[in-house]
Amino acid sequence: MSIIEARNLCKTFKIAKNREGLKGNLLNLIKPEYEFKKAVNNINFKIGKGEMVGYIGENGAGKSTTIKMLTGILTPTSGEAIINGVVPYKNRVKNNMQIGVVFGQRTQLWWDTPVIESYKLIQKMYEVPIATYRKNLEMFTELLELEPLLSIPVRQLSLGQKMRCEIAASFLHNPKIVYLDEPTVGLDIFIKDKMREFVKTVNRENGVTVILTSHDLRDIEEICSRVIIIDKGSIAYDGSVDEIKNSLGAFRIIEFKVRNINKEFDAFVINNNYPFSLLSMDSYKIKIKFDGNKMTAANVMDIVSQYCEIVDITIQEPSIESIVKEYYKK
Amino acid sequence: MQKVAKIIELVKMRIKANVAYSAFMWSYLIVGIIQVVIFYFIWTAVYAGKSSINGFTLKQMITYIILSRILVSQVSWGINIFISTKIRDGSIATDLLRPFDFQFYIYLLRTGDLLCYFLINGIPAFLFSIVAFGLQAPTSITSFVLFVVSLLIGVTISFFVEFFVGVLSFYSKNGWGLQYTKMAVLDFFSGAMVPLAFLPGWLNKIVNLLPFKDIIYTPISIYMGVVPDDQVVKVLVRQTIWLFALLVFTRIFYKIAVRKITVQGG
Repeated sequence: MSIIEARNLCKTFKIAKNREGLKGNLLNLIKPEYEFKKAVNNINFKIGKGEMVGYIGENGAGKSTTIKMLTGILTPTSGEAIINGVVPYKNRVKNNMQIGVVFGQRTQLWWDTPVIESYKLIQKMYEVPIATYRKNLEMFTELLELEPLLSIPVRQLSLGQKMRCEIAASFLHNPKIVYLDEPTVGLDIFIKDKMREFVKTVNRENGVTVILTSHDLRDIEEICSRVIIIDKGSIAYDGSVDEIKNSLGAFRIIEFKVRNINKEFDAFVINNNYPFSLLSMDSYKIKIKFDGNKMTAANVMDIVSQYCEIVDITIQEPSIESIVKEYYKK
Repeated sequence: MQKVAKIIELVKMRIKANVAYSAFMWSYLIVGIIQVVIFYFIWTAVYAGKSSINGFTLKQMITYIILSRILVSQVSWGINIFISTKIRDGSIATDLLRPFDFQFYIYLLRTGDLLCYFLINGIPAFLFSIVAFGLQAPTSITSFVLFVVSLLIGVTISFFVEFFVGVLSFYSKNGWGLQYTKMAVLDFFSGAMVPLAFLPGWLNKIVNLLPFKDIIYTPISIYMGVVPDDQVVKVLVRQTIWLFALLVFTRIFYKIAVRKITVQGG
């Protein structure tokens, strides 16, 4: 039984063309020209109750547009979204009662008043039984360490503090579905960890369904079991997170800070028959991409250390963009 | 009961958000009083050597002008700028996600603003004017009650006008041009500048066909007893008809416009 269903969902934006120069500007006023941009093209998926799904893609791929249609902010050009039996853009209030939303760049809290006032208002607005509200507030306060923040006006909070309050607000009324649209943008690793833990705990306790978009693959890995990849408005992949990681995301990029590179290194690079490739190098830095299924970072280090003195290393996890790109190469 | 509780809570929240800036609130109070003082002196100068103009004595004129300035201030800024700003920066998204009908939600916010305004600016300026300038008192308790009823209808009519102007910026994406147009139209056609009796006959005919005079001129006329007793009910009925006509109109307009919205950014 699916709680979220997208059927042939499409959204086309009409954008006024901007002609340059004074003549162009005047023409824009008198006879505007438009171009049509297909942001979302025929998307279909079903999400079950209690599922946690990562919705990923490059910037401008149509992630936010999809989320806005699912939440009812945008009306689709064609197709349909059904959220727990409700068409969100037609029956807005009914849909709003059953969902929670976090937009990474926006705030739903009241800017000028202490955080707790916003929470009290949520309790009244969503008609949350007072016992449920107290229980949730207590649990959220502990998980996200909100206690010292509750009496501070929202405008005085730092980004990390604000996002913790924000995410708590979106779960406070026991929504059936929560949409998290880039909730971890700009946050440090400790707060990210706290937020991931929080989402997992609430999902376990309440069985809330979560759709998460993020550019941080670790968010998706840790929270979601299923991932949908969208590219240029269409679904490119819909399946388990493990599967895509194993098939595509096994490569790593390793960067060495080095000194005293010896001459043999050049010859080695040319004749290299190891399963890795040199991305860039100068006299201080060597950047290598390798397949994690075929060799380990230690192997790479051993090989490189034969030709130079290693000062420092950093290993990069594959980003969502690189996974999507890799997927398309296949 | 829960429905009422959430309405009250939202209005209260808006008031709390408004009074969070105490310096702003205090200056608001002082400005309200300075404004009526200025208008008092202007009109006293206009009346120098004359006992009445167009059938208005100085006292009547002062009463009219001060009441109209107090009432027009509640619409001069307005919720339309609130709406258009939110459309411009895309934060309308969070308002569309509140568990309220959007128009009703905006109405409740404006009610919060209005209560703040009357409490901090309007009522103090009114009481001050009664004491300082001997403002004409209402002719009877009945006429005062009817004035309040008419005022509440007028306030709601001005809400619909502002809501319409705000939603227009779903199309234009920039509300300032609309704001100036709205202010000019309301100042002129609502009778906020001068009593409508001062306008030439042909203009009065146009004004009578529009709803704007029911925002300011009508309530004040009832307060001052200009409307004959047997006509008051008729006037209130006309106001109510405008109220419902605008309600229906703005709802239809909003339903069409909201399909157009593109939430900017994010």
